[in-house]
Amino acid sequence: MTVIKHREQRVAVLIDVQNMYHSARNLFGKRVNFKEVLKTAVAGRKLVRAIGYVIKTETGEESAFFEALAKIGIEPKFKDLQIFAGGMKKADWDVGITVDAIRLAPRTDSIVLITGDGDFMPLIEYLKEGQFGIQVEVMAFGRSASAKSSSKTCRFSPGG
Amino acid sequence: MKKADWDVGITVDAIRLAPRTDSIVLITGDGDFMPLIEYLKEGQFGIQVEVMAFGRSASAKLKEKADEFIDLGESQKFLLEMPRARSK
Repeated sequence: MTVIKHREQRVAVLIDVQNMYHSARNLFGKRVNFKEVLKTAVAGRKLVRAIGYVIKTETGEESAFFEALAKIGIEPKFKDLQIFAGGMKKADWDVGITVDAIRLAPRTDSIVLITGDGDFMPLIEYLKEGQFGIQVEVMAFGRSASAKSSSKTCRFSPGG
Repeated sequence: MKKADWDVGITVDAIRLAPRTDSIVLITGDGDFMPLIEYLKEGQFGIQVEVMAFGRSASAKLKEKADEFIDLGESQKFLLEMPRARSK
């Protein structure tokens, strides 16, 4: 599907850093160049907000990474790893990303979700087809991305 | 890596229902729902949020943030025996 990126569009870029970090590492053994990802996501349009969602590690070695994100214009939001009774661990920002996307929706023309996680389908549907009717773009590594989310969005960039 | 949760679906449904409710009861102990609870209580909706979960496994932050927390572990009435394994 072709989507037109008018220069006057206001865009918000929400980056599932955790998901992208693991995809790049598992697929290519490399790190993500978030600066280039952000530039391609914005595509010369008006950037309202760029937020990077990060999970803190137990060792705390990520503080330099947070600074690096802030330096390229991505607001880092971080939280602790959740460990449940029984030892199960959960480390995702699904709820935070969803609330932020809906909160930003009235002030944007397009939301760029940078994640390959198919769990975001209900959010994409709500943003596109609900009261907001805005454009949703997804960027992810094609090989790791959910087929469902790529067929539902207006544009899909195989970042790999 | 596997992932099996309904976080996004629950969050979208709660926000979609918020304009037509005075209180939302979330039945989960998962601390990941904190941003949703904050948004429902303190955002444009300003509605009440109640949480029901097993107190021993529920997130401490969640219990504190909810307008009311009901501990499902406090009474046996919330529990049923496991079905007995079928004999061959």
